[in-house]
Amino acid sequence: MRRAAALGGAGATPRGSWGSRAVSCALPVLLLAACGGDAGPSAGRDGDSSASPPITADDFIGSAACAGCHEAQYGQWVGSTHGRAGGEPGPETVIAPFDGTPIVFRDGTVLPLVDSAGRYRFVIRQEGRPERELAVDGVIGGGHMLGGGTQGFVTRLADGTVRFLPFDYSRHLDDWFCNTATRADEGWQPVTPDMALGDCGDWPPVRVLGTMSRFANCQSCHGSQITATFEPGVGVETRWTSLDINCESCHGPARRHVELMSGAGAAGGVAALAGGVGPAGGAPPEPASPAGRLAVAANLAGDPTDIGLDSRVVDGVEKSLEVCFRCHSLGDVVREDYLSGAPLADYYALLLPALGDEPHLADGRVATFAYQGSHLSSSCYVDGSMTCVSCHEPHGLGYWDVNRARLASETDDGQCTSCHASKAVDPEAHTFHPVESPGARCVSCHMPYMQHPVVGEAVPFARSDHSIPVPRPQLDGRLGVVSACRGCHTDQSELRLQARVDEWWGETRPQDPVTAGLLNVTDAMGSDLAARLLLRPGEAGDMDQARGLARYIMGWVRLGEGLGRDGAERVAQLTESEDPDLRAMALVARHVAAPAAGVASADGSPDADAVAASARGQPETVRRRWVMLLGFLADEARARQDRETAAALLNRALAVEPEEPGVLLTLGLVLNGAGDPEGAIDAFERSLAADPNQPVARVNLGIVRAAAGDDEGAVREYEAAIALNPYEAMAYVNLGNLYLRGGSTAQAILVYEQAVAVGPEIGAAHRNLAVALGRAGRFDEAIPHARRAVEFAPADQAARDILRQLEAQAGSGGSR
Amino acid sequence: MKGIPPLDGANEESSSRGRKSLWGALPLLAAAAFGVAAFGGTGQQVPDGAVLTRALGCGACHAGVPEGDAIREAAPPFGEGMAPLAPAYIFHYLDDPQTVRPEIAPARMPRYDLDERERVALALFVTNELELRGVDDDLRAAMARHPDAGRARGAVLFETLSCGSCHLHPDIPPRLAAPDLGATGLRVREEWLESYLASPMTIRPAGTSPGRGGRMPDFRLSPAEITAISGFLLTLETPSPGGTSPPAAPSPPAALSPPSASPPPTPSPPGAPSTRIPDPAPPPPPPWEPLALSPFSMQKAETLLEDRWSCLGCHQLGEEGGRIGPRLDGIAERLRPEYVRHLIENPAHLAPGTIMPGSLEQTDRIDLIASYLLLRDAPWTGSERLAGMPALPPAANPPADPAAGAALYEASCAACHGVTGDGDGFNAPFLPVAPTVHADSAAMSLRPDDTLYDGIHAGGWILGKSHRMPAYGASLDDAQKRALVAHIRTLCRCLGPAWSRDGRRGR
Repeated sequence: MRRAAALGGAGATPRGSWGSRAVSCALPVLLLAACGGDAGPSAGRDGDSSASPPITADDFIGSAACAGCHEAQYGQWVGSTHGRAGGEPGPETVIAPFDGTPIVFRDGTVLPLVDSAGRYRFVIRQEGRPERELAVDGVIGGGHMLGGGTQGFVTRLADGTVRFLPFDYSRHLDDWFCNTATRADEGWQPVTPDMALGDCGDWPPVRVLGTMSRFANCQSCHGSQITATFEPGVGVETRWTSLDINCESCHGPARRHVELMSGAGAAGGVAALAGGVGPAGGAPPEPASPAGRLAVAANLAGDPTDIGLDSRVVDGVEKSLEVCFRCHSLGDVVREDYLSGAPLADYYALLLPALGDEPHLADGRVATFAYQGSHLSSSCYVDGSMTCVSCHEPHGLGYWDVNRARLASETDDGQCTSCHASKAVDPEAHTFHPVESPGARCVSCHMPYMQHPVVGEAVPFARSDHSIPVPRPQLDGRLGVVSACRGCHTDQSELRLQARVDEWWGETRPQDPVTAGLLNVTDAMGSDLAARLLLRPGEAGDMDQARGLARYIMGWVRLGEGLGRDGAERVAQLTESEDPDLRAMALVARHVAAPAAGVASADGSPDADAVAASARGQPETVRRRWVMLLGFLADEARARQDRETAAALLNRALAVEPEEPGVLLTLGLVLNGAGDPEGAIDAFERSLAADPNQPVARVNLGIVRAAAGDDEGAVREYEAAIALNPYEAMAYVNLGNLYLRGGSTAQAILVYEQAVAVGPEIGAAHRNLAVALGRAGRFDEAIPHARRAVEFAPADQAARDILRQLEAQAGSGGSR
Repeated sequence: MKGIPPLDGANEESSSRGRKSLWGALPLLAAAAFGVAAFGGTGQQVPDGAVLTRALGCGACHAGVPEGDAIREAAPPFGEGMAPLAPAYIFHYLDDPQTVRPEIAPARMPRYDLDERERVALALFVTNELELRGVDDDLRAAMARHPDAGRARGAVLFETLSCGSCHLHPDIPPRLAAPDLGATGLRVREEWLESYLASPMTIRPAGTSPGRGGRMPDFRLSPAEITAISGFLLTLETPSPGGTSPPAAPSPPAALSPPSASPPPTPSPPGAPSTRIPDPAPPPPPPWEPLALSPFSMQKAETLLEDRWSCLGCHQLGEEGGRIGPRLDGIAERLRPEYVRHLIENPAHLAPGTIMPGSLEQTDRIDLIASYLLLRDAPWTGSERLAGMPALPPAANPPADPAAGAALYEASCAACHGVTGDGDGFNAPFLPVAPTVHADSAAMSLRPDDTLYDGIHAGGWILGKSHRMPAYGASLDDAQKRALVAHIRTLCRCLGPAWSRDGRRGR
């Protein structure tokens, strides 16, 4: 997981960057080097400082348990898009054609099949390779979304993970497609005979259900209470309650509620709580009414108001949004294995994606792929109190107005006019469109459907714009967005449409100050001017503030160089923010810019040690974010080959959280890259001392030991890694490397074969196996692996060279 | 109005006299007129509630019962040219009229639970004495303690207490400022009504017309009288369209009672025929009983009241809440359940002319809140009268155009926002969030007219401001909301931001 790597769940295997975002659906990029390269920062120990209640998977009981008492709500939910979001494969859930019609790739065909026993599966046929069958163990999605509905499928692998298959189905296209993001990098593309299977980023399957730092991780939302937990010595345990979005996804664990409700037998006398009279003796009566049951439960719970569940009826704005944004917003993972009911801030940071990835446009609209989190930039939220359930009825997911009066459809103006009543008096005076025309609907102009850009244009995946902007065609043209106006008036230019907007409405409402600053700032500006433009404490919503602060950090905050007068003053104000994300970003800006310990600053600002010392006064949620952000900035520096800055940033992170295993692991990687193997070994060992359950840390330690000539020590580390995780492919790859280097080709081949068995998606494993097989003269066996190396790692030039050599040698009749 | 004349030698002299001798030396009220028997007077006869209600002049203040003509004929008028009265007499008489004049029943001056300052002011106002003859030691001392209790204040009290509804006064016309009794049978419980008639207590802390200090006096009714009046009132099941409109109150929604078709009633002149109860009458509320709420549901309602709904903006519940409407504790003792339920949903239907806005909530939530309030374990205690009444200046009488922004603002907004929009209304101290200062030109210049309109319509919650600001969307029509916005613009002497008021069509 991006950034989560520093503080992630116990022993989860990481990858070479700080990870992808929790719900960004970006495909994984494995950066582990096969031969002496560095592995990514490891996940750290399981956090020990959360105040969240100890919710476990066993606390969840499933939606069926709700049906008996909450018949109406259950009935609504069953028919909702949440209730039909996925599940076991079957006629009720599968919309894709599993009729044997082949999905034809350039290098193979895939047959979606269902047998008479109702078993769904994909059969993959590729020339020169054995036929492979992958069971469909789960269905994700039902193609319900108006702007483009899709369905995906998962299969359970031997390592315990459950992974997405690359064969997705678009209801709108009535066609199969796959995500090419990490291979062909052309977004989502319908499958065509020109496309290779390896063009699909999920081939072989790599995207796991659950939140694991090694993999892309939007997948804990494609079902209910999905967890993928690394069990040392075993592998991964993947669990879920169901693959729909169940009642407990919003209400939290319900087992206790159900037990309380059905605990009437032990509730003698409790009927008094409901105003009734308890029995004088014998078995108490079963309370027939819901109120009676609640009273019984209340008595058993000891708290007369405790029903053992969060009803959500009395949620305030932020708590209400938290329920939905756990899935409907981008978020950086602060800690893995979130289960509904836990405090979201302990697990996800919704504003931090603004730093680095820039998933939103300057005005908060979606720039890449961001779900409905842009709501946090809407005036309805910033200047009002709008939540998701202001418009979305939460059980059936129909529509209602702010007063909970049911509405006919998603285009019903009542969603808006129950608050904006002034616009409903004479609608045409506001809309300038005939009252009954589509153009007069509020959502037509203020919540147009936008194709999420990172997906590309080939497969419909448009979502209504929840930043609820005012149409600004000229700005949209500048930002490369199709304006709401032009969405209908396709024959007119954005400039011409802007002229009409000006004519009708005159001056448009000004953007909030941060958005205006983001639109006006340029890289050439000085720090003070940038600070004045981008940092506007108290003048915008937290999401907007975060975008401005992120831009300021990335553009103007340099290690040890100070913030300047305006920046220091405004950053200081933002460090007082209540939002932990915004506060952590501001603290990091101050920390990064602070002079090194003992170095006097021109403006008298505290040095880095003093800033780090102030972390002790910050809550755990802020400190975790602080370290995550420093780790992210260190990764950025490392990517620029600026290892000195990266190491300095990581050492500052360690001053905030001493001996944080993820930070130490990354520090080891940086030091190794900087030619300091001793420092790297020390960092890795400290990391493992803090959290021994890190297979990849063991691998990295082995890599450094091997590079230093300590083959024995290296083997020890690799074997320890395998003992921790028998499915840790990189341990096998690097162990094979040692054997190969030592001339034990046969042993190397055996180990590499284990590597490709447990990590078939890892190009380097195939490449090195091809090398070993080539050395053994087994060219026919080597060439397919070299091809897969190229297929799965197109940028690996060494793999291409090896393939070329092998083909040349095979063609020249080289010995076998 | 004339100020209080300085104490003179005559008063010094009179101060040495005993109270009785002083009264004996002063002209008595027109005993014959005040002693008109409303019913045949021996005490052996069972009183007729309707006759007694008329004799006591209930209709002088309340709509929905026989008009107060009789009491206006019996009660002495005040003002220039009337018989002079001794201030000390009035001062003591107001404290407890029936102690001073035990023979006055059955039509009698009730006791108003006035404090000393109020009695001083009223005594000085109604006696019309320039030289202040007839001032005793008690009054002199009280005047010294309350130097601000002059005739001007007395005039205000005379109006706000609706004294002029019985005692005709050339400058202060009668007015109906007490609740409409036309639907008493639908509203209240018999036991409560009898206890209330026996010992009236404050229901609305700031007066019936909120902020103007009206209050129900104690007529010192006998048990037989209480039974008679209660029995009569409980037969009344017809709310008066237009009701007892407080001065400058907003009209009910056009759909229920268009302002133009049903202007607020004004009292008929003495002797005019009673024509106040028109047809058709709104139907009574359908039967309804509180839901059986679990402790959890009770807490849910409590949390919604605390954190989401606007009820406590006006009503006190426990130690929290506003002081505009009646206290909500123990209303199960006072009100009938179906009345509570349906009043929340549509107050104007059952209480025409009320400033309480109708609810925009769905029926399940209305059932929940009504049930909670009725099931809540709290005794009916009445309210503590707000000190310093009237908190708002007397309104125009007869009421100004109810659709006019200023009148609407005074009736519905001023209690919190202040008459001049300074955010200092009498109810402001009882709110968790300070009311918006509509007179703040700088702040209000940033708010579009449409935002103000929307806030009036949907309440403070939707603007991310105080949820205690109610939604008037179900109670005010478009013209009324626009009028309020226009009035707010006069208070701030400002316009909304330029971007919000330009465009081809002037929006």
